[in-house]
Amino acid sequence: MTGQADFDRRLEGWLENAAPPAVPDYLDELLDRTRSTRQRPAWASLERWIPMQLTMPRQVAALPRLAWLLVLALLILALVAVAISTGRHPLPPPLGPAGNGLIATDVDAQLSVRGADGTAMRLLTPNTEVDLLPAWSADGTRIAFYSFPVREVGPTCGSAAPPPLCDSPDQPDGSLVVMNPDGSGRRVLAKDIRFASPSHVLGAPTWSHDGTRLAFSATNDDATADMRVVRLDGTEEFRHASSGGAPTWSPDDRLLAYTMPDGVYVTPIDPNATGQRVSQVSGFVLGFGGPAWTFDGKTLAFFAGAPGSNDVYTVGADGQGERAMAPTVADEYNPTWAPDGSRLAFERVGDANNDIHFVVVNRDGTGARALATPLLAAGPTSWSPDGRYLVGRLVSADGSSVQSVLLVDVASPDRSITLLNGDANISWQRTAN
Amino acid sequence: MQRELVERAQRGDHDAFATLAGATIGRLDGAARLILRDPERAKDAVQDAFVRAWRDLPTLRDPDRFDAWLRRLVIHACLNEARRLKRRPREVELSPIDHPSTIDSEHVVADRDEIERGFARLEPEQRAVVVLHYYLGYPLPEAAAILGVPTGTAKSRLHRAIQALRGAVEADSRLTAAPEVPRP
Repeated sequence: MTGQADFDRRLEGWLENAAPPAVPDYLDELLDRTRSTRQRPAWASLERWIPMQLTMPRQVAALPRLAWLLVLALLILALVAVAISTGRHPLPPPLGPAGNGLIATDVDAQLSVRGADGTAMRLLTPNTEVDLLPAWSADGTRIAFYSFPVREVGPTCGSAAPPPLCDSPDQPDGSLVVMNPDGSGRRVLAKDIRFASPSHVLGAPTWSHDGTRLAFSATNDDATADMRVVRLDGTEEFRHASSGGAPTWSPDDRLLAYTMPDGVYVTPIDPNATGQRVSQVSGFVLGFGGPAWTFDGKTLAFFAGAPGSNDVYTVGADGQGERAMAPTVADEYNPTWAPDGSRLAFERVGDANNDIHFVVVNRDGTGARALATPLLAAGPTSWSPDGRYLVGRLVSADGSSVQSVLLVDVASPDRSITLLNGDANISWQRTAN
Repeated sequence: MQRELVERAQRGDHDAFATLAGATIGRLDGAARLILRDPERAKDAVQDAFVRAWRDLPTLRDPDRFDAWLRRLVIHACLNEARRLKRRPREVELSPIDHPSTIDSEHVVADRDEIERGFARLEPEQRAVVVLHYYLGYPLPEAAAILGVPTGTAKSRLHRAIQALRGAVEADSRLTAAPEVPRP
C-alpha cells in the first residue's frame, strides 16, 4: 500500500510539475489593462464608513429570551412526538425483506434523513462538524456514522503554519458515533479514527444483525489498518491488525468476512482467531472487493480482478464451489444481494462507451439482465429494503462527476427517481411491513 | 516591504501594483490552470481577478491581507469561469510543461498520467480545494474561508477528491503491475 506521506509528496510533486509557477507571458498585457482601469475610491466601500456588523449578512434575528424558550419547548415537544411515533412502530426482522423507511445521507458532511421521494429532509447533525457514512441498524432504530470536529483557525493554524500542523485531513481525531433517528442520544463508541487520508479511505461501519455491535476498518498512525468491533457501550470486543477492509457480518453475527490484498477472508469474532481465505481465484495480480453474505450465511459474493477487468464471483463460506457470475470481458463489481436473497445485482462497465449499468442475475447465475438506466457513475450499490429499488448515481453530461443519486426501479428502470442532486453516501432504514 | 507596496498601490501607484503582480502572478496562474485545466480560460480568469484587484485595492481595509484577498479573487474568478464552462463543456489537456522543474524525475513523470486522469475527473470546486490545500499551502479553515464555504464543506470536498485521486492512482498502479493473462 502506498504510504500517506508518499502520496502527499507525489500529489504535491505532480501539482508543481503540471503547473510550475512562472511569470506568464501575458503579464504586460494585464498591466496595460490595469493601467487603463480607474481605481474605486476608498470611500466607495461600505465597510469603510459604517460598522462591519451592519454590512455583514445578519445571522439570526435577536429574539427575546422568552421567545427562545418557547422555540426550545416546541422543539422538544416535536422531538418527543417523533420519538413516540417511531417507538410505536413494530421492528422489522433482522434479515430478509422489510419496509422502506427513511434514507440517511451525508450531503455536505451533515447527516440528514428524508423520504424515498427526496422530500421532507430533516437535518440530524450540526454544520459545525464533519459527519460521514451513515449506517442504519438492521432494526432501524439507530444510525451509526463517523464524526470529525472542525477546527477553528487558532494560534497554531495561522497562514504561516504548514498544512500538516493544522487542520489536515489525516488528523486522528474522528469518532464512531451512534444516535437515534431524530439525532438525539448521541454516543461515542470509538475514537482516534482518521479522516480519509491518501493512504486510506473509510468505509461505512457495519452493524451486527442483532444491533449490539459495529465493525469497521480504521487506519493507524503507521498507515496500517485494524479491523475493529465495538459494542454499543463503547467497549472494544475485537481488533484484528490485518489491514483487512470492508468487514461484513455473517447472518448469525458469529463471523466477519473481509477483504485482503490477496483474497476474501472469514474470521470468527475472536481476538485469537486467524482468518481463513475463502476466495479461490488467483493466478494474477488481483484486487478484491465486496464481500456480501447471502442471508442463509452459506454463500459470499465478491469481485476480483485487475482494474478494468473485474468479475463477480460467489463462493461458499467454507471456500467451496466458487464460480464467476455472468462473467464478460467488461468490468463488473460491487455485488449486492437482494433482501430476499434470490438475486444478485452488480455494476458493469459497458464495452463501447464505458457507460455503467446495473446487471441483475439469479442466485444460481442464470437470467442475467442488464437494466436500461440512464448513464451511471461508479459508486456503492445497495437495494432498498423491500427489494424494489437499486441505488445508483447518474453521471453528469460531460462524464466528469456525479450529477445525482438515483433510485432505480428494478422492474421498470426507466422510472428512476432522483433522490438528491450531487453525490452522497446513503443508508436506507428498514421498517416492519 | 509588501505592506508598503500595497499601501502605495492603494494610493494609485501603478508601479507598486506591477511589482506586487509580478511577485504573485506565477503561482496564481498555476493555480488557475490546475483548476480550469485550460490555459486560455485560466488567463482570462487571472486577468479578470487582477483587474478587479487593482480597481478595488483602495477599499481593502487591511493591507496585510492582500495575498489572501488576491487569491480569493483569483479562485472565485476561476470558479465563475468553470460555471460558464459547465454550460459549454470543453476539456483541454494541460499545456506541456514549458519550464524545467527542479523536482521533475522519472517517478514524477510516471505519476503524471495516473494523477492527471484522477484530477481531470474532479469537479472544479474539488480541484479548487486540492489546489488551495496542496499547491497554495492553506490549512483547511483558511481554504474554506477563501472559497466562502463552511469548513465542513471544504473538508468534505477534499475527502471526496482524495478518494477519487487515490482510487485513480491505485487503479493505475495495479494495472501496471498486472501481467497479461487469459481471462477466467
